Amino acid sequence: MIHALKGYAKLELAKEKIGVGGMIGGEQIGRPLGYANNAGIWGLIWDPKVNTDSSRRFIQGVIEKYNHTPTSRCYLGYAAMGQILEAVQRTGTTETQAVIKALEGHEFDGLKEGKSVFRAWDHQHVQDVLIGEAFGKELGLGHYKILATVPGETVAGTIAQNMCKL
Amino acid sequence: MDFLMGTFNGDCALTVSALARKEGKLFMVTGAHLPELTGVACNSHTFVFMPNATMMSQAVVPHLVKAYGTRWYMITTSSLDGKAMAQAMVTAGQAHAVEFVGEALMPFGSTDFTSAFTAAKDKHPSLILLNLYG
Repeated sequence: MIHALKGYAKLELAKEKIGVGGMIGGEQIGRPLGYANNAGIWGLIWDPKVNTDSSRRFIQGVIEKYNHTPTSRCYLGYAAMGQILEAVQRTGTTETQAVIKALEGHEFDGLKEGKSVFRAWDHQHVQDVLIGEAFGKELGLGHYKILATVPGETVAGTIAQNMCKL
Repeated sequence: MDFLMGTFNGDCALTVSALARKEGKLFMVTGAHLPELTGVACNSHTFVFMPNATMMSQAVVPHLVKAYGTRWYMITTSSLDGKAMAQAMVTAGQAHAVEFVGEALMPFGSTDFTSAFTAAKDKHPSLILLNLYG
């Protein structure tokens, strides 16, 4: 992705009114790429601009320990691990079936504005998806201008559309 | 070992998911977006924390259409992950009358995209989609 976006910038395709974008972007791309070279509209898993108490605590914790703002990759590891640990706490055991039952259908603080839930019938974490526009420079807590926060339940599909049979 | 957690690459996630079920261990997928993990290949021991390709594409496509119009060219990694992204974006795009005017498949790990961008430019797209992951 980084090499491709460097190529897009080098060929000056934006000047020819050819846009760029895709399903997944994030600070993990913009930092090594260099903000000035990033462009386009992207789906974002999480962004440092998410304005929730839990997100702010997460950001502060990473800054204090690692001296940088977290990316969505940091978010995925931190938040997913948190759900396993909380499920173990709720059940009082690490026994697999007990933890699976504790996670199925569980609603939790996924550090986003909307609700997070592990759907019981397919085990998908249904959550907000952010839409960001790469701004080309630091905007304070990253370089994406957040265009929208899309509630997960509006894009995650239904049981009738899914082939999953647990 | 009580839990398995991680994976970015979709092939790897599917393999670990099958192993988790066989060994009776919980697997929490953090970075793979394949819809199959919670679709046709779902199993009782796998949870997916990552939003899947269907969710991401359905969310972003209306904004891409609004900003750039509906004539799209895709540059896609020739891998399970890249092809899953492309499929999800095509499905979401078709609901918004997007015209897909071409696609360049790139080997995983490519660093020079000049030929792909040149091929895209020749098709006069309004947007180049980058389906690069894995």
